[in-house]
Amino acid sequence: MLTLIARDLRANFRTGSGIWLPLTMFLTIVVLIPIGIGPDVDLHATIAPAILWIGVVFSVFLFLDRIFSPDLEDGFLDRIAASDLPLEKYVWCKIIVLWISSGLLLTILTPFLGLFLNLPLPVGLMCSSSILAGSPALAAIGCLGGGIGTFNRHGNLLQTVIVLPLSIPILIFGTKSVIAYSNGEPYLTWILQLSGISLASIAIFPFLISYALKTVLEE
Amino acid sequence: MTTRFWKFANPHHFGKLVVASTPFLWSFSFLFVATGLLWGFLFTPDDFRQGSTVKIIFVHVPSTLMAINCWLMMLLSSIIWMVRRHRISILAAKAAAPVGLSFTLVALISGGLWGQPMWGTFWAWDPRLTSFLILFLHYITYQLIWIYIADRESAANISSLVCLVGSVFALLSRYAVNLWSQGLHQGATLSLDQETNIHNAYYLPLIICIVGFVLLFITLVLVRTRTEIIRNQIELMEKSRRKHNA
Repeated sequence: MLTLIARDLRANFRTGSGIWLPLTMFLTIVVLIPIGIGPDVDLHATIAPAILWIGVVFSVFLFLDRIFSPDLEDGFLDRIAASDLPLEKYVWCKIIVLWISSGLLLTILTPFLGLFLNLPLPVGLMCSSSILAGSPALAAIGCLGGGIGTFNRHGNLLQTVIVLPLSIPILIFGTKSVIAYSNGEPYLTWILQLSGISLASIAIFPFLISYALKTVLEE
Repeated sequence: MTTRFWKFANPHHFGKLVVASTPFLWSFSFLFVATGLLWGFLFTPDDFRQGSTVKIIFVHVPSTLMAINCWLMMLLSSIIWMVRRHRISILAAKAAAPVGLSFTLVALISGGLWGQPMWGTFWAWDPRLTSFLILFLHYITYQLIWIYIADRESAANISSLVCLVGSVFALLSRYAVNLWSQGLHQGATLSLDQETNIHNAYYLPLIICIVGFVLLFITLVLVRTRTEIIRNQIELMEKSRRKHNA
């Protein structure tokens, strides 16, 4: 399993785009929205959690079509399905790789970009910990979209439509925790619930995604 | 009892049931919907504050109710498909989806039309309204699965998967959205366990409307499911004919 994770991570690092594209997307959103709003510094600080969270959602969902399609095209997926390794484990590795190469990197970047949005450092750190808690669930949802998107040439549309409604509760919990923290309200509940959703997602989604992939392989 | 119910998993028995029952179902649902709406629109008094806009309730409440119940029915059918592999079950879910989508749209639009004179806005990001919008998005996702996945077997599997995951996440969103401060929408005016319900003048026509919408939903789903079964059979026949020719 570690071999699988290392293989995919190396592929992501070597091609460059696998790592840099989510970061660039994140940076683009964080830069463009304040420019669109204008130099209203207080407003920036108010909506900064939302901007950062939406940036994360977009970056994680950036190229879902590249999660499973390459393996499906070169027959790697068939080999996995025929081997001793359960398909669920393979899918789980894919989720972890997607999370490391988007969610984890953005978590590290968030407090610095938060400063950029006039967000005080403690609130920025809070924002990044909520992203740390929530992004595994986003990665799992993204892999589900990628798995279902392998079905046909309209895959891109299909996977976008699938991940959109599923990401809503995570976005709500994520921004809610940061806003509660900056208002001095109890915030730990939201972080814990977010982590709960993430843990449940990375435990359950591999089974759902491999159900989808088995259907693809049978087709 | 259970064996009698599963008998209708056979397309032949199911078709016979539909053909036998549709004339009654159509006429009863027409009767109830027409009675309820006519009574509601023409023969109820205006509210002393809301004027005649209160009468939108006769469309709004039943369609909202059916939008949610339709999703529950789709969830049940999807689970039955995943567990017992009865084809009619998943075809019923497929047939119900556009009906539920329409009910959701009717609920959203009628709510907006009522909200404009009452709240001064067509739309507010109120918990109830937002969770309904999210339900609408889930319906669209489900519908697009059936449209874009060509192979029927795969579409059946994937749509039931999406329905399952969607139900959990729709519930989560409902819970998450409730964290926002209580919005504009009023609480329940119609429930079995509460002392204060809506005024009697509106109560009876509203109940008739709800019964009518339920009947209408059942009729539409049965008829559309039968259509789907026939379409399925036609496709199978064409496939086997092509195989035969080749």
